[in-house]
Amino acid sequence: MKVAGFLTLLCLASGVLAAGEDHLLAGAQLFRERRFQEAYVEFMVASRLGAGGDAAWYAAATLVKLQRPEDALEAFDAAERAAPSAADPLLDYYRALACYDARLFLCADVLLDGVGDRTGPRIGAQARKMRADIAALLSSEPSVDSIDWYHSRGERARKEGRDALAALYYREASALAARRPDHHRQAEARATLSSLRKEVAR
Amino acid sequence: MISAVLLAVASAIDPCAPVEPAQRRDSTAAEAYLEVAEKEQRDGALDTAAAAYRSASRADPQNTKARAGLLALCRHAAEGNPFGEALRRMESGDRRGAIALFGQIRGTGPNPASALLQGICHYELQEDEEAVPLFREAERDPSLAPSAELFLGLISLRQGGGEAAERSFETVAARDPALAPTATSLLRLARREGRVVFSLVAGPSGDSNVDLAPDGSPTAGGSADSAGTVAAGLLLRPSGESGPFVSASGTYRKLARFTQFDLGVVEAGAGWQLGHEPRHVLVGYAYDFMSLGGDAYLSAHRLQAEGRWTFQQLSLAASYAVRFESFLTGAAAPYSGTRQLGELSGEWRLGGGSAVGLAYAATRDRTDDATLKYLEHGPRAFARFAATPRLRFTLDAGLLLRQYDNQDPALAATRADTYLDGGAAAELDIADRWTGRFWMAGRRAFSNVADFAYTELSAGLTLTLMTGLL
Repeated sequence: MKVAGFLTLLCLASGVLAAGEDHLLAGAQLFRERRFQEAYVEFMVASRLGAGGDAAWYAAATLVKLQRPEDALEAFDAAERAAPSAADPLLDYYRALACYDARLFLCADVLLDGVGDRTGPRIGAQARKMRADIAALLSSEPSVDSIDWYHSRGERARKEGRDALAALYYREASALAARRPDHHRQAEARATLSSLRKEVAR
Repeated sequence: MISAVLLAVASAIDPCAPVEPAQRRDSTAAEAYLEVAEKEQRDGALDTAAAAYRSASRADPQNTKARAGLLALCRHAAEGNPFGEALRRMESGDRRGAIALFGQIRGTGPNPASALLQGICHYELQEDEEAVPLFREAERDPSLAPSAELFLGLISLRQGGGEAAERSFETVAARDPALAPTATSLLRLARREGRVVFSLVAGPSGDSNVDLAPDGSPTAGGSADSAGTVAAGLLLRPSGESGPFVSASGTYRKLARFTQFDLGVVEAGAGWQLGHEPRHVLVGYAYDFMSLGGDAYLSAHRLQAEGRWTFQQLSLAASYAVRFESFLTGAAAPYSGTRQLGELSGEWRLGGGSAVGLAYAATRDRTDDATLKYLEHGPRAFARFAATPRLRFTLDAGLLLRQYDNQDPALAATRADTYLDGGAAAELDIADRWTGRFWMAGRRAFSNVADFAYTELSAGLTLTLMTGLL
């Protein structure tokens, strides 16, 4: 909702709408009305029509609302590469939600750590609550089954050509493996990550 | 609750609805919408694709690709998305229809989400045997495993397996933060359930009128007093909630001043319940023995039957009991006889343990002494409110009209009484097995014989330990 409010203000303050910015504004309005499917479409169109890198970030945040966390994570990754300066704590919060919904708890925790109170007291409190939940969840040693699950998700994403998403799963698998004395499949996760980085960089 | 989480899909965009053209044609925007629509369609996000096709068609009504795309999605929707249709049936309460469709979907290949939802339908229909293998199937998907485990715990709880339920809820609470609050509440419940349940209650109370006769009439010389009460109970249900049960309990109330009214009650019973709390019938027998002031006071045999039927939020119940009472002291002996009690009630369940309801009760007491026979009946309203998972409030208010059969020669009148009753209680789960309760109750009795008009006020505080032993 804050994203929508910010966008509306931004567009109204500028007075003149550049190419695609009318779609950005429409997307913000639809987001505010919780019509997330239509909002997402407007943000995507805004992005295609040259409204700037922000639209891609907002589209990614809208995917979180559409309960498409994996798509959202890929979209955040693409938005970050296209317009790294557009990131802000609120968008990091949405990104953390996507990580959380995809069960990438360590990924979520790192992002929430950076959110702090910079988004206001309500989001700050929610972030703290999520971090407490994650801490409780990760308080015990991760099971072999759990790590294997991240590997299987990573492998599936890789087969589908979703390398950025696959990297997130392998990163989580590696970090979880580090919490076990036997470092279950950590070397494998690291090797795959290294290979994925090369592919992503290409 | 879980189904609501799973069914929380974004509201669908109808691809078949007519499209209102925009005031100004914008073919550039239409092409951009079209690109988004085609990408979303390729990715399987048909709702978003429909939204984009609709926007494309609105921006440029002559764009044939947009119209064709929308038409294709409309046909797809018309042909039916079995999963969506199954969800719709489940949400509308057509669980049998949903089960059939989820079964068809699973017939085409493994589908843990369908297995979970089909399992929930069976669970809600109390078909636990069918539900368990489906939850086991759903557990194979780690993202669904906590939800499946939660329902397996609920089934264990329903079948009286308190320990198994406890393990399930502990697992869920540890694995899934989103389900942790629910699992923790259920864990508390599981620790109080089992095939053998022991309870212990103790606490002080005060009563403005401790000396009422068996039919509620005050006797001369009575007054206010305070008391301490202890009670213990044991419930054995080898098959869980549905099946045979045996119970035994003992209560002792010690008064501070009027020790001649110290009360001891021992009760033992057995019966059979068919079904679970929302829909069940129960028949049972119990024997009650009561002592007053250290002397044997009452021996009674009770037969009881009750039934409850719940559909969605509406729960209807009926109960009947007949008690063959033998009062064992000279003063109370005339009250001996057969007492029959029946009640019809209906309540609207608001979720989370809250409910409001109405009841109508009738009592027929056929005493050995003809002047003490009466018929009593009247309505009652009640409400339960769960402020938090640990804190609950109850309210109760009723009106009873009692008409005696015969004239009492000693009174030169045929007694007719009216009772106004009210009560309230607050309960707090202090720990998993411990509950504190504060209660207060009041009765105002009106009678056509002035001596029988009275007011009684009582209040008390109890601490209850309830634990499943097996």
